[in-house]
Amino acid sequence: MMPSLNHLSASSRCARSSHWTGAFRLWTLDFGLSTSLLLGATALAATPEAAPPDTPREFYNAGTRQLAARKLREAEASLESALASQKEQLRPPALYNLGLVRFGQGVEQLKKGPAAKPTLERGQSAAKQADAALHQADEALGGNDLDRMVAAYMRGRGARKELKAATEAVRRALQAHGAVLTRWERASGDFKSAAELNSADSDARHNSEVLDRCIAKLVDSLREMQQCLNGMCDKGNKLSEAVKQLKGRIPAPNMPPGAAGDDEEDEDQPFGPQPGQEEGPSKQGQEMTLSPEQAGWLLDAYKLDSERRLPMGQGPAADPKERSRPTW
Amino acid sequence: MSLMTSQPQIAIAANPTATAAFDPPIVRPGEQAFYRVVFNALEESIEWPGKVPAPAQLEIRPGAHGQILQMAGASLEPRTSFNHRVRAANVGMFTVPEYVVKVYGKPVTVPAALLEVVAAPPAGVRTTPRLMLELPVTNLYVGQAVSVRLAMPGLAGGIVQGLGQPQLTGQGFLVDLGGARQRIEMTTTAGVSLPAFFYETTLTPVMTGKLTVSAQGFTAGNRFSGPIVITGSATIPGGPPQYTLLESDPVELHVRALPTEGELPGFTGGIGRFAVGPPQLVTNVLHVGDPVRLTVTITNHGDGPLARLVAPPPPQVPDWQVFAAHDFTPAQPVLPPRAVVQPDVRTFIVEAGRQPTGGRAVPPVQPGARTVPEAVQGVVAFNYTLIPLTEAARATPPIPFSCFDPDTGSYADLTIPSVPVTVLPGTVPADLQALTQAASTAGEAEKELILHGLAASRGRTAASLVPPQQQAWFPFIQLAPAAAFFGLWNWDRRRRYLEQHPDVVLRRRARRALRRQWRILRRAAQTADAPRFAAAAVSALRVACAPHYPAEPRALVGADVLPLLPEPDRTGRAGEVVHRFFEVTDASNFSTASTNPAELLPLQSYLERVLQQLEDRL
Amino acid sequence: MKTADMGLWLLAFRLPSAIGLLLAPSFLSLAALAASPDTLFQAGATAYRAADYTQAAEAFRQSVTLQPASGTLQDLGNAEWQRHRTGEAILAWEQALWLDPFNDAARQNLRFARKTAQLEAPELAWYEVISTWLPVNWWAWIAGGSLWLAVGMGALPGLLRRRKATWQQATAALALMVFLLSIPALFGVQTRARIGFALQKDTPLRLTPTLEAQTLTRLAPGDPARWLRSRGRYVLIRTSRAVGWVEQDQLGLTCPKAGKRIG
Repeated sequence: MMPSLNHLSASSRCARSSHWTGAFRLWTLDFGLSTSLLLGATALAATPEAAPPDTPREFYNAGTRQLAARKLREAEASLESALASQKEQLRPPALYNLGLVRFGQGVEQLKKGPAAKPTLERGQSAAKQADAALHQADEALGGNDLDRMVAAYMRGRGARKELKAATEAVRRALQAHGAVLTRWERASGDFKSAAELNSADSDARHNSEVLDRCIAKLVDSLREMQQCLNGMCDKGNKLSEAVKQLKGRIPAPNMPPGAAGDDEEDEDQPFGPQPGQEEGPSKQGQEMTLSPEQAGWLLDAYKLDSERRLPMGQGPAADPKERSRPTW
Repeated sequence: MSLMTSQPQIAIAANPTATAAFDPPIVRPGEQAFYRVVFNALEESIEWPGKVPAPAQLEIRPGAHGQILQMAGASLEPRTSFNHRVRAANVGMFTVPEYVVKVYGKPVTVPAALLEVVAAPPAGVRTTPRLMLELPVTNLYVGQAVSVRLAMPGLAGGIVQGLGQPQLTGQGFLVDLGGARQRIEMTTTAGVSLPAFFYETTLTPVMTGKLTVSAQGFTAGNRFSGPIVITGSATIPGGPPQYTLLESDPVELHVRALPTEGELPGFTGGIGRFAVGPPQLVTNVLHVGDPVRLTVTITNHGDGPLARLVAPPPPQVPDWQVFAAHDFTPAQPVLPPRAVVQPDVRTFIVEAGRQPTGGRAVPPVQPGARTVPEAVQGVVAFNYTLIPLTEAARATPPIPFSCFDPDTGSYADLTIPSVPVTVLPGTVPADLQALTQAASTAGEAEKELILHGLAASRGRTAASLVPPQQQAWFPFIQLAPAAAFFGLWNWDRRRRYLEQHPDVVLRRRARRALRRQWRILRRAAQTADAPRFAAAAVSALRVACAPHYPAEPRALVGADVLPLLPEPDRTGRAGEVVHRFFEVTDASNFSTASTNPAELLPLQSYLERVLQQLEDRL
Repeated sequence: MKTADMGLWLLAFRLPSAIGLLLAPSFLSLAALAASPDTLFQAGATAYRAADYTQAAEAFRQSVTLQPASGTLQDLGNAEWQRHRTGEAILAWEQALWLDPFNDAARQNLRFARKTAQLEAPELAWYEVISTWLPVNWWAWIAGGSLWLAVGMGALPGLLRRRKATWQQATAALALMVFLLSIPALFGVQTRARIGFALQKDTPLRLTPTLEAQTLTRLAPGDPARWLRSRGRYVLIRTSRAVGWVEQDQLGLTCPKAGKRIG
């Protein structure tokens, strides 16, 4: 099966197609190689296909057969079993075939997941719409024209919805491509391991080089999508804020239909946590792991009893959340 | 619902505003001042910039920030303060220009603020009190509770305020908010007696390393969070309080981990100097199965607070069932050990901005002056319930207990000693029987595992960690006795063979004797000692022929030698030589006629040939 | 003349040798004082009490390299534990027990460390358990001594043409019994020598002995493993979870190979 060219951006299609074609050639070469190995294996021991493998050699043969039949998951399991037997002779060819299996798995995942280019285009388009909606909202908030505010509110809502959908698509594409990257990195490792064990294996070395180039391209694509996602999340938060303010300014009778069910403003982060959002900087001092015993003593020491008073603050114990609606 | 509806509303300003000012506005070069910006908005809604646009000559660092709700009419208005610490090295006028901060998404202008740095600022410039953080010790162990005191001295005129929302900021420690105490009392600063507000609590570090602690709070006028003890002459301003965010200088703590070596049984995290009082039983005469209460008092003699001492777990002993001290008399904290003079007190409540006119007087709290004694910092009592299970019990079980003394850096044994008792017959309740049986069948309780200290000596040594059987020389060592046994066995085999074949021995002896005689005759021939030569030759011939008969060599004569020679030699020259030698020697031994053995010397070669033939036959 | 020349030449040759022979003992004694196992042991103990655990560990390690000792290994384990190097600590304590199974402090420390770090102890077969009853160095001598004692008691009277006494036969039987009983222990020593412990945190257990190998699982410091074979700079080990490869430096063997640093 040939890796699809549709996943790549148009600007470097010509450059990458050769790589993909090269990969395809590699694929067919390797398929032929694995087939020859398969033939070599079956020539030695003509066992029926249905018999479950028992020895490491049988696992290897079964894995190679499954690879040829495109049953990649089973092939991976069989070849890993062959490797786990730690037979020196089987290791280099098993690693090689395992690399092919994982490369194939990545290709299948690429095909199943959303395409990078159309997803990126959708995200960029949604971001542009959000920009325009933000601009309109800012202008409306700057004045007192109710009609403008309502129009900006409606537009903002629509842009926000589209932005949310586009963000979700980009996130899914990121996940799928991330999974492909994991598979291909593992495949590259397998080829490199095969080359390390058998320095005369030029095929394995060639495969690993080709795969590294494919991985580099995939990483570029992932970076683009990540940047797009960051930008969309930022715009989404701003748009959400603007819509919230507009809703606060528009009196209830003038509210457009459907606004009552729109309770996204209650979400602190409707677009989910910011990508790259982390906890604050680490604490000063050196961390010392408290044993459960020590923690128990400290907690016991602070437990409530009849004499303990609850802290009485100056004002209410908890600060209420900001609400545009009137309180009780 | 009515409680909720009676709460005042929180007013969110439609157009939030900000104020900015330096406190104090006039300082000396190098003296610290605070740059304080206050918003009438919620803290979460303020997008505070990372850097304030201050002039380059002004060293500015972020400080504390906090929010408080202030009554404004019928509603509560939030007030958020951001503090910065500023310092100027040189004299001059420094202005932080106005800048814009986003609040609720709207731009809010922070007005400009001016700081004047002069060599001699006028007196009475400071209008806000200072907040100080005091700790008795800064070198601590993890889990060691230490008293922390926030002090806010009053201003000139005896005016002192309360502190709202006092808190300790920093990482790596726990603060006991429930056990906090606050009071106002007189203190002497630079020779001047002034009232001061004190807030005391307990801090317990839970991380090792360097920890930084600082305090902050809002000046709160006459609003106090919780009960307060007021002693001395204090003027508390009336009217609505002016909430100003104060912060203290940071204090650095050096926290070490408790050593694991030398930890004693029964350690439950207590750090300090404690003394165990004699345990007390309700009665010393017990019946089997009847519960009795054991009370033991732990007194804190250290400088630190008693905090919350955890009772040691009950021991597992076969003759007793001991229940943990779930209820215990709480600590009775006593004031820190210093002499406090308490004269007659009158407290005045003053309206804001007005001088005290002897308003409503509060009855004196403590008439006369007295001092509070030192030594005891609190007492806690542990109560255990014990049930004797057999009449064999003669004393209550000792309860292992220990604490860590930070002054000596070692663990102190505070084991609660046994109390002698007399146990009379009785019956153990069935449920308790089942519990004790289950405990006994569970096996010996696992001893507390600790890290042992250093070994006193190097102990058992070895040339290598590799066992001898894997060393190259070991097989050779084992081959030595094998070789010895093999040699011994071979020797025994040889001996048995020779025993079974005595002719072999005889022939060997004959060969040896022949060679010996041969050497003698050759030596005699060299020295031309004819008689000796002849005697040796005849002996050699006899010795060489003896094994063939067998016979004693001296009994053989020449006729015995000839048959052993080959047929042609018997009658040839060899035979003649043999005859001649025997003839001469016999004549010299048995005849009276003189003989001349010298004539035998030239026959040496023939003789040697004969001897060689005879030797070959051996 | 010739004899005089010869004499002078001999003097020229022998004088430096003589001087060297005279001074050699003093040099040797100075070097011995500077780096004797006892001195290093004391230095390590002093550094440990001063809480300089790095220095203490180094001193103990040098002492062990010069002459392995159970007490020194126990202290090395303590010092490594204080430095939060669990793997090295457990290895040192195991080596202390390897030399001296009667070292109760090292045994308790191992239990403490395994409980604290939630590690499992290596599972020992019955013959390996027997081999832990006595120091490993004893079993070879016990087996060899008992074997030759049995052979001697049985063969010597006949060889020396003495009548076999009852006590000789009994001694031979007893020695033979001891020898037969020590065989499992000898075997246990051999197999126990292959036990090692992961030294570093998150040691990857690889599927293949290559740099880019797939990681099967990660081992915690102090996790036990059995050495199966080596390939280049990788060793194949068996853990309770899987069989895989680790780098040689990442595994500390209880019985190190010749030339490898102890601990």
